[in-house]
Amino acid sequence: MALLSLVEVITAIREEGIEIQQTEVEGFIQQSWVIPLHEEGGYFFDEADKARIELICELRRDMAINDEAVPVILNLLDQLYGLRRTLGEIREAVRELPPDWRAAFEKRLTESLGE
Amino acid sequence: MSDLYSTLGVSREASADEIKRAYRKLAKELHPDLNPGDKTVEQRFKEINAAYSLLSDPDKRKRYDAGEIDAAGQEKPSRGFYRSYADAGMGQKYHGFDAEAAEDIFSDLFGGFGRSRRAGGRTPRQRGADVSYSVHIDFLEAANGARKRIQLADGKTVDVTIPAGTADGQTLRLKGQGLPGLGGAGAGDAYVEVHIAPHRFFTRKDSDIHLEVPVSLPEAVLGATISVPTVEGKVSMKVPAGANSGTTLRLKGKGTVDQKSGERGDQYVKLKVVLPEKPDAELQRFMESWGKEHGYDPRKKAGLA
Repeated sequence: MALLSLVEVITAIREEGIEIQQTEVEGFIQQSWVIPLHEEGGYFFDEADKARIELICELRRDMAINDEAVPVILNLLDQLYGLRRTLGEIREAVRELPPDWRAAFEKRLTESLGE
Repeated sequence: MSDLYSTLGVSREASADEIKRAYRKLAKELHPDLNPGDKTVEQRFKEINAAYSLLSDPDKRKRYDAGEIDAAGQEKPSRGFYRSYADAGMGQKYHGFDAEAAEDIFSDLFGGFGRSRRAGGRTPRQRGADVSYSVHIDFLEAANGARKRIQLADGKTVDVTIPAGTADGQTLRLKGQGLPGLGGAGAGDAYVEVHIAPHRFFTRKDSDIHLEVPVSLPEAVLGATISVPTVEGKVSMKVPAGANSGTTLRLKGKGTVDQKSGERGDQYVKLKVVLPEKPDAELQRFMESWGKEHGYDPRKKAGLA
């Protein structure tokens, strides 16, 4: 997948019906809310960067989250997604356990988490 | 299609402000990126989004009330939400959490596992646990191979050799670099998952590299020798006379290494003919006289005429 330049990512976001200005994206980068690849004096965005910009726009505009609170939310979300990733890895590790270990694990979890 | 007012949970007489507040409340609750594990919210979010985009426009709202337009066609084009990339392992640079950071949760799971056993006096023989790490490298490091230093959980650092042609998501095994075993049993292994950042202009398909290269009109019409980047550096490449946008040329052996066969892939260079940036009067005059004699209809050939 090729990367998008600043102008290209703005065009693509607008095409999805989200209004955004170049200065806003530059502000997001300055605050490190979005970390695109920075090379040869330009910024290059992958799909995850683009979706993150859209999320920030919706937080600010649709949910009236102010700029002081945006980094708090992003930080918590990043931890949430990091946790989900770790949980996914634990799930994979559990899958590779012998069946009786898995059964014991499942039993223990069912007991503490309920149905 | 259900009633847009009930989608937002407001009455038909609701003021613009009430509609906005209702939408904000629902958006906070239902935004897919704020509900990563819930598959059902995405559809609901789209519906409230569509309802709001119509009802927040006074003109459209009036016409909707009068029955002139319905709710259809208001949905914004589908898009990828951040959660789908984050859960797929992209955007890892943002994630301020990994097993190492969660020392409070994992320390007694891995490190303390042996300690409590030893307290019992008898040490069972047990091979050490395997541990996982991830390493981020750039596109060219993956294509050409690299050495990366990573720090292990016990503070040791090891140099990991990333072989040329390593694929994104591939896992390398470092034998014996996992946690120590118990009762004289061997240590576990360390597994290193490799994440490759995309490149500005190269893309990779297996061991082949793909690249789009712009050429000027004279270069395309007359042919030329141009300089083209490859993963190993620049090479010169012959553009045949009469080359067209979309013409793809192959640079044999200029791809990256296929890990199974050990052979090098190829680089595919797709040409893109680019006109001068500013319209040129001389070129226009020439095209006028040339076009009269040599008209051709590429749309007809493409079946579009």
